[in-house]
Amino acid sequence: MPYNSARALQLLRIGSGRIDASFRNGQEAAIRHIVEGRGRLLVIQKTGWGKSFVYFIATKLLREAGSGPALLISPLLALMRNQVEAARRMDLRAEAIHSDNSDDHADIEDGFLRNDIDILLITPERFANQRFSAQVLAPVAGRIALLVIDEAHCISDWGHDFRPHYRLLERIIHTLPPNLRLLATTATANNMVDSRWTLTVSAWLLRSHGSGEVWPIALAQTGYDQ
Amino acid sequence: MTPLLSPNTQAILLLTAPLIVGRGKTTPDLLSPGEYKRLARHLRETQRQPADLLSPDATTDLLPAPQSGIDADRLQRLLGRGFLLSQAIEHWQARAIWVVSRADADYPTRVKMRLREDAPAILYGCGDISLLETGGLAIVGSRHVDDAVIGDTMAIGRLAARAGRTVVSGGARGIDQAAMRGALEAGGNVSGVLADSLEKTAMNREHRGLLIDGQLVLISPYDPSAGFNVGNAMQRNKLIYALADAALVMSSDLNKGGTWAGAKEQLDKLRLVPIYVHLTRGTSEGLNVLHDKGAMAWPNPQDTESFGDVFDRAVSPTPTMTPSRPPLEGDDGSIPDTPSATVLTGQREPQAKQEPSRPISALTGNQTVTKQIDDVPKAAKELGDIHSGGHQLTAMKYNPADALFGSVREVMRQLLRAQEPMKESEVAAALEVSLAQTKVWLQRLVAEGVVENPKRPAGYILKQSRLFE
Repeated sequence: MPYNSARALQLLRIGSGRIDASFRNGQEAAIRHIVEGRGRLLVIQKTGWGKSFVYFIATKLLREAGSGPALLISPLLALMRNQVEAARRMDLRAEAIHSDNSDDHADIEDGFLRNDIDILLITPERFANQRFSAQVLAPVAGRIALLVIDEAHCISDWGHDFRPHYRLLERIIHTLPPNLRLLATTATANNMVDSRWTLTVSAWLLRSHGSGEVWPIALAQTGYDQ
Repeated sequence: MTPLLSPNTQAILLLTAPLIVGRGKTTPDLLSPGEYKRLARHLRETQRQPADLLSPDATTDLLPAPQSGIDADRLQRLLGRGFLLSQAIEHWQARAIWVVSRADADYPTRVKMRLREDAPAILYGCGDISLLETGGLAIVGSRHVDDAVIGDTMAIGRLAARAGRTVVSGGARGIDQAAMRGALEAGGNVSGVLADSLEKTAMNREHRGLLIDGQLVLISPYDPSAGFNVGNAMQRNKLIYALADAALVMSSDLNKGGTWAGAKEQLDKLRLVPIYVHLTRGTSEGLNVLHDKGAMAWPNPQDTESFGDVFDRAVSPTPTMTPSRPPLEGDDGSIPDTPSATVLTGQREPQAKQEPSRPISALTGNQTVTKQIDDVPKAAKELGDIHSGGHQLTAMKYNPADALFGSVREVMRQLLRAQEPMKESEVAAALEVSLAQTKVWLQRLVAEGVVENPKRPAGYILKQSRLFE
């Protein structure tokens, strides 16, 4: 899918609310990589770098080109209110399903089924939930254009914050075909992310493509180890 | 099973499989078997494979001509179902259901060789897939039959078990289930080919232990959640014959029903295996007509030795048993069917007008699985080095060096099928030959494109995912 650089910058400025905003080092490359469908991407950046702009702008561009919705899985949804606000500023319909908004769940699920939501944010626990999987995810699953795994260091024994429900995610990533857009992000603090960890995760993402072909993986790492 | 699907298998599933999970609706515009066949043929002709469609650089030149009805948008929509695919695989894995595609080495050899490009692109299954390589006796018949015929069928199933022959059947009520039950109760092996509801059948408590113990394998070319469909049942029959070494029709209506249609298709057209009809219970119009069409009378063997004899009968006296059909994807279509072609069977006459085809006879009446015919690259055919399980296929020019290398190639294909590349020294040790000789062979196989040697991890491994071989 062709990448529209001017539109991406415009979205950044609308989303950030700053007319003179410009992309940080690596941000635009990451968005382009996703939109063009060039393979799996792992983004390791400090908190505040603007990872959310990467997936929100990428989602918006994909939706404007007629793609299906994005699905974001994060264990820290309650902390994402500010990001969701930014998404809405760029007219991106972002909704989160978490324990603090139970009253809205039914409406959000309906909206997702009607293709009225551009990016749905859920927790790994919700993702593993049978009812949610069968009734909400299954009908839309064939159209999901982008899968974002936030806090990717929680996957399995890579990291320091293992969460059991990431096991399912791990399996799912293993079985995804290489053309499904996959973005894994992590904001693990600098000193905790050593290069060996990065290598492990990268190797894992690569391996899960099945043997044979090696598909490109880009590491948007700029700025992390300065 | 289903550890990791190869990119080829992923692509074929995305294009052709309904991927039924949860409350999801099935995609209306899946490629039909015919459409997939055209696409696969086109890819083959342009030296591509299905996995190339998943590449970020996939372009429209991968597609056949627009008039094929397979346009880029439709293909993109189907290939865009990657997340759904992962959900479906998760669903299958939780139920111990595996998937193989024609691109996989595990795909049942008999089906691939006999049905060629009409072989289902995808097979789902549960249980030990290697049972499908054991051939055996296909037992088919109607759903509604009297108890006497059920009793006969169970007895034949038991005898097959005692003779160490697998029973292949369809899993439907009536004859199918009687044959399977007879064999299973006597400790025999059964390949069940289902037209629907694989998931439900595999989860059945009665089958679970048998599946786990490797006595029973259940397969279907249809989504594990798919329900009954008459058309599917007809297609499924072809698979039953293709998996067996001989077939027995226990009962059949005349001019109607799946048993009739399946047996008639075999006798009139496909002739994959020798076919018997069970005439011992008095007359049946359906069976009599099948008999007239060339099916042999079941000799009603009572002991394991005479049971074994039914596999040794010639297929039929009719002139050709090689179905006339185009080559499978991967063959380049240039293999001529003339005396100058190197692979000829003894009983085969050069025919005036026949499309390129391969000798299929080597499989009948023989338990050895003869993968070679299909697997050996065309280069090998030109060298005339093929011999396969029991049947010597005579070549026009016999060259001992080439014959040796042909065997080496096949052995290496088995050896290097592993997950991880093997080092030269490991290959040499496994073959018990010198390192120098090993290197020469490996280099030649790399040059042929049969084997590749990746840098990391270093070593040699069978070239991946060769749909076209």
